[in-house]
Amino acid sequence: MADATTGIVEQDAGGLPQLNVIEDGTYTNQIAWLVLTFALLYIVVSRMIVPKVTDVMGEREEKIAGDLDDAARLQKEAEEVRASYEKAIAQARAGAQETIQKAKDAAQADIAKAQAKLDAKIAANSAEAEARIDAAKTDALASLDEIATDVAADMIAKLSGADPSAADVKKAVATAITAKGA
Amino acid sequence: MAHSPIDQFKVKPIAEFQLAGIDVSFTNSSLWMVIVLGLVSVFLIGGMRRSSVVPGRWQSMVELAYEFVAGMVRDNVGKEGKSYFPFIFTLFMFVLGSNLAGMIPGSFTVTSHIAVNFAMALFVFLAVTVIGFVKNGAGYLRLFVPSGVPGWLLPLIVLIEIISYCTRPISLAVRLFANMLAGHIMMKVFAGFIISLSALGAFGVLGAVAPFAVTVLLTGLEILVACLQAFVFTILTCIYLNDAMHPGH
Repeated sequence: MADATTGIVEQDAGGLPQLNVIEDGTYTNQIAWLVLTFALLYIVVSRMIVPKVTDVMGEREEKIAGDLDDAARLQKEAEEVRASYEKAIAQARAGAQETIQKAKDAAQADIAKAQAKLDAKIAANSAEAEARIDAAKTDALASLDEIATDVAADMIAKLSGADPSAADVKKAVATAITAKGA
Repeated sequence: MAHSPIDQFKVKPIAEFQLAGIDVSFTNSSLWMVIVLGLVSVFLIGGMRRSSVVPGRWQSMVELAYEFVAGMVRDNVGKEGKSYFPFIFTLFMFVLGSNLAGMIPGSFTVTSHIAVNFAMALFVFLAVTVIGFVKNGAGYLRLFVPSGVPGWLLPLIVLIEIISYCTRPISLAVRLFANMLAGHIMMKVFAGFIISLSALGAFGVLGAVAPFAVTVLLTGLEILVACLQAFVFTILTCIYLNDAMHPGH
């Protein structure tokens, strides 16, 4: 392969074309076309590309800043909504507590009233019953004297055959009862 | 059939023109400059044609190139470099386009010619020098006097600084030229091995696999070099421009 390459190189004895540009005069056309194409590219870049890219990047920055602002605003709004919601919840809770308390108080009052009524009724009933018992007792005691007098009169009549006056018997019985009671 | 590896660099006239006695013929070099101009313009204009806030793929590529160069200018020149951005962006796109177009088989690599590179480098050098003196007046000469150098050493240092300043256009031009030249010659030589070896019969075809693999690898390397050298040319321009803006090390 060394033969092949040396063969190739030997075909061209002029050296590097780059170093012969002055002799062969191609440097002028290279530089002329470089100036032309470079200037055209410069015009394209400076007139069309740079302003456009700058615009787009500025727009993007603005958009991002705007979006961030919007996000901050929305977050603040959400925060406010949350606060008002919590306030509403607290209010509702307080209202419910109040209603419950009221209902409780009313029920308590009703219970107390009913209790008082019932107590009064029971007291009245028991007083009435006591009075009735007292009356019955008095009656019974009164009729007991009568019965005792009658029984004593009957017993006197049966035992002695005498017929004492009712007033005497009554007097005697009363004396006996009193003595016994004493 | 067999071409010399340096045949690809030959400038061949397509149509001969003369302007004020100067040869301005349209050559294969001119043709590829026009093609590069067309390709870069189509890439840039096409990408920004339907520019939107949310970019598509093409627009993203254009913006990527724009941001890449804008970042280079921002980091190396600073805010004052903004007015030179269109030129630097044009320079980057032209060199990159030329280097990459040179990778198309059968094409002509515009930037493989030192005449072209030197013209660009000399323009950058002269522009930087003029900007430097316009912005700083005689103060631009401070560039040649580094601070903190002992007095007895100063004449030598100033001489070295002046020489290094004046060789800038040469180094800028030769760097790009040598990279393009060497890469393209290497590719042609290895590609030539494939042809010469396979001409030796079945055994040679088998042996041609090795240079073929090298050629494939070189192609990838050359695409990298094409991008890298466009970057280097541009960033050195930025650094020189920075010197013009802020002389004194």
